Amino acid sequence: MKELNDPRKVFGKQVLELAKQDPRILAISTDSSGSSGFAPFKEYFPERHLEFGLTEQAAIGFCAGLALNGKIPFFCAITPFITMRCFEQVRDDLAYTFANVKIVGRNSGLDYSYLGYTHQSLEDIAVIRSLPNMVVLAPSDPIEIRACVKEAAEHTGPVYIRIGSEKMPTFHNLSYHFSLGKGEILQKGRDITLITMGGMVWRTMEAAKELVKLGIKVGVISMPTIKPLDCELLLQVSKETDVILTIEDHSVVGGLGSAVSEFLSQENPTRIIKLGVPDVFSTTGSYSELMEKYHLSKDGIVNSVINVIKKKKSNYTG
Amino acid sequence: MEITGNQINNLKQIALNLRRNIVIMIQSGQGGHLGGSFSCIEIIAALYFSTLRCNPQDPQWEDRDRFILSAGHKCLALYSVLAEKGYFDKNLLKTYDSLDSPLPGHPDRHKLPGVEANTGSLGHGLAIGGGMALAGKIDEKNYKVYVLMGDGEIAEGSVWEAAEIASHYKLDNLIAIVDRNKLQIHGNTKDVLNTESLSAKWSSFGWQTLEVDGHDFKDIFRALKNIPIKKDRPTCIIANTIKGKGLSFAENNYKYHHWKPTDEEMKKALIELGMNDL
Repeated sequence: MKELNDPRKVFGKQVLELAKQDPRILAISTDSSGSSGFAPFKEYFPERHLEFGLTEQAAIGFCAGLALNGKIPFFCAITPFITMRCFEQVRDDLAYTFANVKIVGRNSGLDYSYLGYTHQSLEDIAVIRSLPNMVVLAPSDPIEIRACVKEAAEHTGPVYIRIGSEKMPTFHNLSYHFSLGKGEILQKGRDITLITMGGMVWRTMEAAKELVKLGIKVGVISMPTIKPLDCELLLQVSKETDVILTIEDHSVVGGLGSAVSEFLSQENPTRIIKLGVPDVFSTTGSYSELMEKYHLSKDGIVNSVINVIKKKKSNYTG
Repeated sequence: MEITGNQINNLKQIALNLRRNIVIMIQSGQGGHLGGSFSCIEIIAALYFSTLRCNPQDPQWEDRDRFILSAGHKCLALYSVLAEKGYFDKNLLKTYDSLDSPLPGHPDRHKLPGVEANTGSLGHGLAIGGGMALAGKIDEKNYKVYVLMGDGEIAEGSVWEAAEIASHYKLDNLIAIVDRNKLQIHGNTKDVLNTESLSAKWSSFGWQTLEVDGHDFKDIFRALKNIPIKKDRPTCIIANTIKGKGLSFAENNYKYHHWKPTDEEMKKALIELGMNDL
């Protein structure tokens, strides 16, 4: 197994590296600097790390005020707290204001498996991508996390980055070039194309290897930018594959699958199946148990694809 | 430092002009938030014409004092004073609330020079202003940030989160002004949700607090010229005001929080503000 990294630590280190070059960058936390990956930042730049205690609503407002005066705040917290508790501040003070603030949701998806629904985050992409001006990123490995953080720092305007806490392997090469708004074709396949994001990408690739062994021609697309969506790539894929399966550690309501469907239903109606957490309150258990339960483990993805293919065939023959 | 009689007379004339501008906007837009815009006029006049360091020719001047209208529905007062200061042509006032106007029902910083924040939803402004004040401290700038809120707005929890942070970071360049007109949309603030005692609340949050008569320039001026009252502490000025101040029929009447004037009322307003001959 390749080396595994904690995405929060990768994120925090990258913010520190960028802050060494750019004095405008600040790290903001609400009583969770260590678990948000900011420990090295805090040690290196104690005066540029601002602790706001448990005040997510006001913290977003303070970030907006700082940004309107030339700072680039990176505010990281547990995902529901930084996206939904203060949603109206994100809406008005960041998106509508076009404030140059970067909010980072950590332990996203089902990563807080034992802590239950309040701490898991299955709606963050749905709510944040509904806001004009927002950029929504879900990087898939340490190299892409670093690239997304750099892009966020260089991009003028509000950005939301979604990261997990589950350790993840690196599959990109150091030469990988991330472009905002561009998806990445990891492999092509006629029978079915899997479109996924974030920590689901490497799992999907593992599943794809199994599927290829079974003789299924499977394509894999990674979508590190959920907004703006790579419509050009989606259009191309929809023409080259029979069916699309979107895979996300997020609710099937409003997430990546919905974003893909919204676009393709108008531009090139395509059969799209959404694999994610169904429209229910997620449960508790170990991370791997939850991934199994919602069919998001490697085996879950493999079986979901097989079922889709079977159904497709029965449709043809029936 | 005391304000002179001449300065007071000058400010009184400015306050009258500001109220007149507001009536022009309400006429054009066929309605607007009158009560709260009129209650804060003396405060706004004193800020922009005796206190704020700002330059209408260079609205983004980085050393300017910042004014955030947290109670964004009082935007008529803000538009009025920005026009009077020369941030934009007064003719624009007549576009108030029309399609794509730079003077919408709540202020938008991208549409009008001099507007610092996109307010409207209550309880946002103190945090935004706090962030600006904190940036000023980080950059060792001397500017001050003034945030005007309504007394109904104080019920919002986010106000108190911001108050805690400002106190923690010793933002003595941040000034909250509460326009305490004691009325909100649905009646007396003490009946809707009693937010008293304001002074005790702000003081207990670590703010230096004082009360003024919000229609008395001498009182307002004295408060504004002594900031920070105490080093390292943010200041809260609780301005006791009368909602709808300046129009006899609207004063102290919550029904004029938002005013859709009848012809009769508009005639009366024009007479009371001496606009008939203008």
